[in-house]
Amino acid sequence: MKPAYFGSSSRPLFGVHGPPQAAKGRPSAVLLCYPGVQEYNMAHWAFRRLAGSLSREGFHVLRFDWSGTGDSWGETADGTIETWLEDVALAAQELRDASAASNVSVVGMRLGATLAALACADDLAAEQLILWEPVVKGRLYIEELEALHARDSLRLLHPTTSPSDELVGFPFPPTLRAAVGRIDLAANPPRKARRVVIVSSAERTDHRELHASLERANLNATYECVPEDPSASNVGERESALLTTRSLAAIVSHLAGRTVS
Amino acid sequence: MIERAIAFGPDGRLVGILAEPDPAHAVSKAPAILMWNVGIQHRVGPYRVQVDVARDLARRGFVSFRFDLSGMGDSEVRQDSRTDGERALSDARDAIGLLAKRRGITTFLPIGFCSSVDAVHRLSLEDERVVGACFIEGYAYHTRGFWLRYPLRLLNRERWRRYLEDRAQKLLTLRARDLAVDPLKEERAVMGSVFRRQYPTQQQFGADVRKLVSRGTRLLFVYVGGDTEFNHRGQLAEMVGGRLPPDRVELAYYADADHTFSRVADRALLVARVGDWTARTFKGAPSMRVPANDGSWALGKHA
Repeated sequence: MKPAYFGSSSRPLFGVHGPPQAAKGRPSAVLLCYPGVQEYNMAHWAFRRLAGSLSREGFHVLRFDWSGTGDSWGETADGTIETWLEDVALAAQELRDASAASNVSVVGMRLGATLAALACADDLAAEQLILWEPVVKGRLYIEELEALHARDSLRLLHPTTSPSDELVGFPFPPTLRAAVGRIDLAANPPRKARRVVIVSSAERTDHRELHASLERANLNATYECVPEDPSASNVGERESALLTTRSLAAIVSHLAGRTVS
Repeated sequence: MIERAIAFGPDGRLVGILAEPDPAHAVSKAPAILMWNVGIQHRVGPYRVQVDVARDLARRGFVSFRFDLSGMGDSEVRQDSRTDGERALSDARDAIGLLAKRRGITTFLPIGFCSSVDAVHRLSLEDERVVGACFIEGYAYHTRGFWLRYPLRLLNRERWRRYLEDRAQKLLTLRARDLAVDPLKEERAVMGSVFRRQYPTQQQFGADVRKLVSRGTRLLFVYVGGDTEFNHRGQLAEMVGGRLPPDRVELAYYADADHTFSRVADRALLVARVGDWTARTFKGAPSMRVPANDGSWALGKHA
C-alpha cells in the first residue's frame, strides 16, 4: 500500500494506492469511492478489505477521500456535488497514471456510488461500474440521514436541533441539502460505463427501479441482491457495512469476471 | 499548512499524516502532537475530529502526526505476539523516532481520546520527552462526589425529554427497529472483543498523574457530562486524591456534550480548547522542566 496526496497543491486529495499482489497483474485498475462523510468512518475498514482482495486478484487499486472528508483537503461544510465530481475525475486520472492500466473500473458505495455514476454519465469512462447500495434519489437519502440523526439525537442532552444544517454529526448546509435532494440517478444513466452492476444487501424497490431504468437506457446492467449474514441484520444498515463480507465477495467476483450475468 | 502521507515503522507498514505549519509561522522547539486510533476508527477519529485538531494546531504553528496503529486503519499488522497495549506503545515510539529523525523534534504531546488514552497514559509515564498530554474522555472513577450528584440527573429536563421521546417513538413503533438499536452498543461489542484494556486502579491513576505533574508534564483533561462516568468539575481532584496545580493541569468539562462530541458545536469547542491550551502552554515556552511539585495543589483556574 502506498498512501499519498495527489491533485493540486491547493486541493490535495488523500488516497491509498495498492499495486497488484498476484503473480500476473491485470490490465485494468479499480477506483474505490467511499460513501458520504456521514457513512465514511464505518465503511473505511470494509474498503480496506475490498482493496486488499482486489490487489490479490491482480488489480491496481486506488481508494481516495472526497474533499472535506477523511484526510483530504477542505472543510466538511464546503463540500459540493461539483467539487466531488472533479475529485472522482482527478482520482481516476491518478490511478491511470500510477498503474498504466488500459482501463479503469469504478466501485462506489452509497453516495460514493451515486457520484461515480454521475461522473460516468458525464465523461468518465469505466470498464465496470459497481454501484454498492447506491443512493438513487437524493431526497430519500436525506430522509434516511434525518432518521439516523433523530435516532442519534436520543443520546444527546441538548434539545434536538433542526436538521437543516447538521446531519448525523456533520455540517449539512442548505445548499448541499438542496443539491443532493435533486439527485435522481435514474434520470442520468451512466452511459460511459460499459457495464453497470448494482449490489444490494437487501431487496430495495429503488435499486430494482434503477436497474430497470438502466436497461431501458440500453445499458448492460445487472442487479444482484446479496443478503448479509442474518446475525448482522439487527445492527442497522450503517453498522452492518462494518461486518459485510458477502457484498465484498460479490463485488470482487464481478470485477474478476467470475460472475456471468 | 502542508500535510504529507508517510509510511513508517517496520518495513513502512504503518501509515500516518504529518501536518506542518507554514515555516514562517512555526513555533520553534515546540512539541509535536501525536494522535492515533480512537476505538476501532481509523486515524481521523470520531467525526473527523483529529483532522480538525491537527489543522487547527498547524494554523497555530504546531506540527502534528496522526497515524494508524498496527493492524488498524491503513496500517498493516505487526507479526508478533504482543498485546494490543504493547503494540500501541511500539507504534507510538516508532512515530516519535520518525519525527526525531526527520524533523529533529525532541519533545512530544500525545492526545488520547477514549480508548486511545491507554497508550497515551503509558507513553507519558515512560518517556520524559513527553512534555504534555491531553486526555479526552479518559479514565474516570466513581467518587463520593459523583454518587452524591448522581440523583440530580432526575432533575435534568433534557434527560426526561429524551426518555419520553424514546418511549413515545417505540410505542408508535414507527421506527421501532431503528430505536431498538443502541447507537453505541455495536461499537462497544466490537471494541470489547477487539480490545483488552488495562484500566489502572484509581489509586494508581492518582499516583501516575502526580508523578507526571511532578516531572513538569503539562496535562489537559477533558470530560463530558452526557451519560458518562464524570458528572462534576471537582471529580478529577477527587480521583487523583488531591488538588491540582493550575499552572500544570487544566480541566475542561462540557456538561451537555456526549462522549464522542457528535454535535458540530461541541466539537468546535473541543478543537478550540485543545488548540488554546497547546498554544498557551507551549508557545514560546517549550519543553522547560519545572521544579518538583511544591505541594500547592489547586484546582485549575480554567476548569
